[in-house]
Amino acid sequence: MQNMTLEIENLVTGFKTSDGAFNAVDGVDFKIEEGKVLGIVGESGCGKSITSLSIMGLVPKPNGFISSGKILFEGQDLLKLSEEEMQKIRGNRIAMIFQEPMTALNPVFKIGFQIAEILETHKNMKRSECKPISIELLKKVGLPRPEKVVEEYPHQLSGGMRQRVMIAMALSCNPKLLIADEPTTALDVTVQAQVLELMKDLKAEFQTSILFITHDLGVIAEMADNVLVMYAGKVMEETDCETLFDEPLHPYTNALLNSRPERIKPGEKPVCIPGMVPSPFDMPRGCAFAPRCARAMDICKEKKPALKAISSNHKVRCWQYYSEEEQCQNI
Amino acid sequence: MSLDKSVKSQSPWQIGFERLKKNRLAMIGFTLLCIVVTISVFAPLLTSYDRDAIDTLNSYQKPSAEHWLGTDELGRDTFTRLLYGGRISLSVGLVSTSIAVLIGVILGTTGGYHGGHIDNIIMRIVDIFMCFPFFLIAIVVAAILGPSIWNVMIISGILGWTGIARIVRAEVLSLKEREFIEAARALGLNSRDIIIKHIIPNIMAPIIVYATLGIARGILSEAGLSFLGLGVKPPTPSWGNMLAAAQSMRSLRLHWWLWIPPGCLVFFMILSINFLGDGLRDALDPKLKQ
Amino acid sequence: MSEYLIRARGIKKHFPIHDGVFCRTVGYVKAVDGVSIDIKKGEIFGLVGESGCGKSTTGRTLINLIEPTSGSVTFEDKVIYDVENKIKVSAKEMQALRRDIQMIFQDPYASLDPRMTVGEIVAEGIVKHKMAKKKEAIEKSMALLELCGLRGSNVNKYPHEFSGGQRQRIGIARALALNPKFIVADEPIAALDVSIQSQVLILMQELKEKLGLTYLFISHDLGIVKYFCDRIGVMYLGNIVEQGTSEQLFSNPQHPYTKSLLSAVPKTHPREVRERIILKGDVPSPASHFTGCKFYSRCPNAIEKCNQEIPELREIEKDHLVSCHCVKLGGKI
Repeated sequence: MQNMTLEIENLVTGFKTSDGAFNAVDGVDFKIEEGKVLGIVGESGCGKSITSLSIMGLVPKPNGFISSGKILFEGQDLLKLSEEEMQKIRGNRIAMIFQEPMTALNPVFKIGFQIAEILETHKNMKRSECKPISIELLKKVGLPRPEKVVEEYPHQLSGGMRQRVMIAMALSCNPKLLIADEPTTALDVTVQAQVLELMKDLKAEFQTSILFITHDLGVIAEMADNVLVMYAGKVMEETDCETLFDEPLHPYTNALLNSRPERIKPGEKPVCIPGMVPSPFDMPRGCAFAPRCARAMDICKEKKPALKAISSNHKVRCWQYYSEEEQCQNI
Repeated sequence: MSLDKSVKSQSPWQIGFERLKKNRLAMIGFTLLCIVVTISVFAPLLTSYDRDAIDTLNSYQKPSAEHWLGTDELGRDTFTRLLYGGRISLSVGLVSTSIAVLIGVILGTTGGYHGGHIDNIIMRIVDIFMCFPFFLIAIVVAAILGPSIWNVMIISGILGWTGIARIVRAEVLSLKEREFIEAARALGLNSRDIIIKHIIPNIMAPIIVYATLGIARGILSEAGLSFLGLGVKPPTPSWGNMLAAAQSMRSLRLHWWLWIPPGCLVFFMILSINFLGDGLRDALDPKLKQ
Repeated sequence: MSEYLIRARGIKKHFPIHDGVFCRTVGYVKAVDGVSIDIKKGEIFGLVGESGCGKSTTGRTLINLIEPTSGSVTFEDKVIYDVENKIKVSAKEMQALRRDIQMIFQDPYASLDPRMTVGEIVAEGIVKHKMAKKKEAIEKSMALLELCGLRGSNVNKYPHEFSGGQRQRIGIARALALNPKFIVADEPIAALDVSIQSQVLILMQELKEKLGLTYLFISHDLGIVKYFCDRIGVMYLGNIVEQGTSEQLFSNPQHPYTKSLLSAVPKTHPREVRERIILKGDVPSPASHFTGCKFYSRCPNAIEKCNQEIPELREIEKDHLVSCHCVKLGGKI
C-alpha cells in the first residue's frame, strides 16, 4: 500500500438557491497516491470544480455547504479543521492553480510582491530574503528573464507567462498536493503543451501529487495516472489512464472518447451525445445519464446504479455491468 | 432544463421585479411612496379646506379634530397645505429628473456609441457642467428671473444630467463590445436601429435606478431652494417653503406642527425613494444572478 | 460566374495605437497584415491560429464589419471594397449584401440580446429587410428554430432560459433567417461543452448540405478543423503562413509553425508517443516592426535570410501554399 496524499470518502457538497437545494457533488470517493496525478474529466456542471473547492475549504458560503463525507489529507480530516488551521494548509501544503491566470493574480501588485506574500505568510520569511527565492522559482518554471519579471505587473505578461507565474506561486511552499482546475483551458495549444511539459517535470522533481481537473480527454491522456469520469455530481467510471482509453466501460466515457474530433475519419459522421446535461433540479429518477444513453435499459430509468468494481482498478457505475440477477434483486 | 415543460417564460424584467418583491426595505419604500403620491394626487378629496383659504381668526391653532395638523400664521390648514405641497415637491422631482434623464441618455448613448471626437466633445461638456456649483447657479437664476417652480425644475434638470450621461456612456461602451451588437450589424441594422432596439433596452436598468435616486435629489433641492426663498413662490405651498415659513425661533419652539410634518415627509420620502432605488439596483443587475 | 464565392486580395487591418497627452498615433497594431483568401462555392475554409493571430479580425474585415485598412474583397463578381482603387459599395448596397453574408459568433451567452425573445432575435433580420411582416417573420423563425433542432414553440422564451448549445442553435437560426450564401463562423463551438460540440458541428454540416452554404470556419482547434474543413489557412501574426487542403496540411505540413502547432495537440491515447516541437519564447507583439519573417524569433530552423527578407506565400504543390524561405518547391526543406 502506497502512501496516500489525499483520501476522499463519500463527499457531498450541496448548494442552496432560490429555486431549491441540490447536491453539486453527490457522494464522491477517491484517493491520490503520493507523486501521482489523478485526472477528473467531465463537462461543465458535473461537479468537478466544486470537488476541488471542497478540498480547499473554499466552497462559496453561505449558499454552499459540505453536508457529509471526509477529506483526509495526509491522514488529517480537513473538514474538522478550523478556518485558521485551514489557512495554514491552503497555499502551503495544498496549492491550487486556476483556469484564468489573469483574474487569479492581483493586477495592482508586482509579481515579485505576490510571490513574496505567500512566502512571508507560510514560511515566515523576511521581505529581503524573498526576492532571490522568487527569482529562483520563476526560473524553475521556465520564465525567461526572471529578474525582470519579478518587477513587472500581471498585465505585462502573456497568458502563458501568467500561468507559469501561478504555477511558481503554487509551488513556492513545496505543496504535497497541487489542485489544477482547468489550468490550460484558457491557453493556446502551443502554450498548453509548454505548460503541461512543465507540470510533468515539476511533478517528477518534487513528488507532488496533482489533482488535475479538465474537460479535455487529450490533456488527460498527457497527464493523468488515474482518471475519474464525473457526470451530474457522481463518479461514473474510475480507472487508470491506459485502461480508460483502451477499454472504456461506461457509455458516457465511450461517447466522450468517440465524439473527440481527432477520432473522426474524413467522410464519416462524428458520434454525438444527444440531449444535454440534466438540470440539478430536474434529475432523472434512475441513472443521470440514462436519457442520453444509447444503451439505456428499463432499469436505468428506474433506479440509480451503484459504483461497481469490475477489476481491482476499474470501477463503473452502470447497470450493464450487473448480472441479471443483481438487477432483479435491485428492482 | 427540459423544454417540454410548459413553464411560463419570464422576461428579464419580470425576473427583476420578482426579485424586487422579495426585498422588504424596497417594498416598504415603494408602499410609502405610493401612499404619498396617492394622497397628493387626490388631495382635494381628502380635505375639506381650501389650500390658500385665510382664516386669521384661527391662526396658530394646535392640531385638533378640525385641523388635523393645526393651522399656520394665516390660519391655513397645515394638513391641506402638506398634501398640496406634496404635489409640488413630487412634480419638481419628476420633471427635473425627466429632463436630466432625457439629456443624459441622448448625450451618453451618442458619445458612447460613436466614440472618437463626438465622445470627446460630449465628455468635455459634461466636465464643464460638473464645474457649476448647483446652488450658486440656482440662486443667480432665481435672482435674475425671479423665483418660480419652473425655474427650479429646469435648473435642477439641466445641471443634473451629467451623472446619468456618464453612467449611460460607460454602460454603452461595454455593451458596444458585446457580440449581439455585432450580430445586429451583421444583420444589416444601422446605428439608429441598434441604439433604439438593442442599446437602450439593455441600459434601462441603470437608468431606472439613477432616475429613482434623481427624484429624491430633485425633492431635496426643491426643499433647499424653497427654504432659501428661491424656489416656489408663496402662497403656493411646497414642503420646502412650509419649512421656511416656520423658521422663526418662535415657531420652532412653540408651533411644532408647522415644521415637524413637512420635515418628516421630506425625510421619509427621500428615505423610501432611496430604499426603492437600492432595491431596484440589486434586482435589475444581471450580474447578481443567484 | 467564377467558381469562387468570395475573393479577398491583400486585406489589411491596422489599429492605430494612441499615446501621449495629445493622443497622437505612435504606431499600428497590424492585426491583419495582407491576407488573400479565395473561397469556393460550397466549400468550408478553415482559418486556424492562436489567440491574437488576427483570425477573427480577418473574418470580420472580410465581410466589412470592420473598416479595412487596405485590400479588396469581391463577392460573387461584386466588389465590396477595394481600398487601393477607392471603390466601396454604398451603405444601402452593403445592407442588401448583409442578406447574403452572415455570421455565427463564439460566445453564445453574449451574442443574443438578453432583453429580446428568441422569436424577435431570429426574426429581427427578416423584419429589417422587409422580407416579411412581423407576424409572418415570427412564424418563419419557428420553422428556422425547428430546422436547427429546437422546438418552434420556443419563440416566446428568452435567451437566459437556454443552455449554451441551444443558444448557439438560436444564433445559427438567426444567421440562416436571411437565406445567406456565405457564413463566417467565428469559433462557433469553442465555448461549448465537449459533448455538445459535435452536435453543433453536425448541425452546421447538415445545414450546409441542405441549403448549399459556404463557410469560413475560424477556430483555434486543429482537431476540429481537420475533420470539418476542406481547405485550411494557418495564420500567424496577421499573415497566412501556410494554406492547403486539410489532407495536405495534416499529412504534409511544411511551415515550421504549422508543424509545431500540430505537434502541440494533446495526445489521443496515453501510450501514443509524439515528438513535441516546443516553441521558444512568446508570440511577439503585432505592433513591432519586422524586417523579415515574423516567425524568425521562434523558428527552430531559421537562417540569416529569414531576418532580412519577408518570405512570400508560394505554391509548392497544387493548392498548397507556404511562406517560408527554407521550403523549396515540391515541399522539401
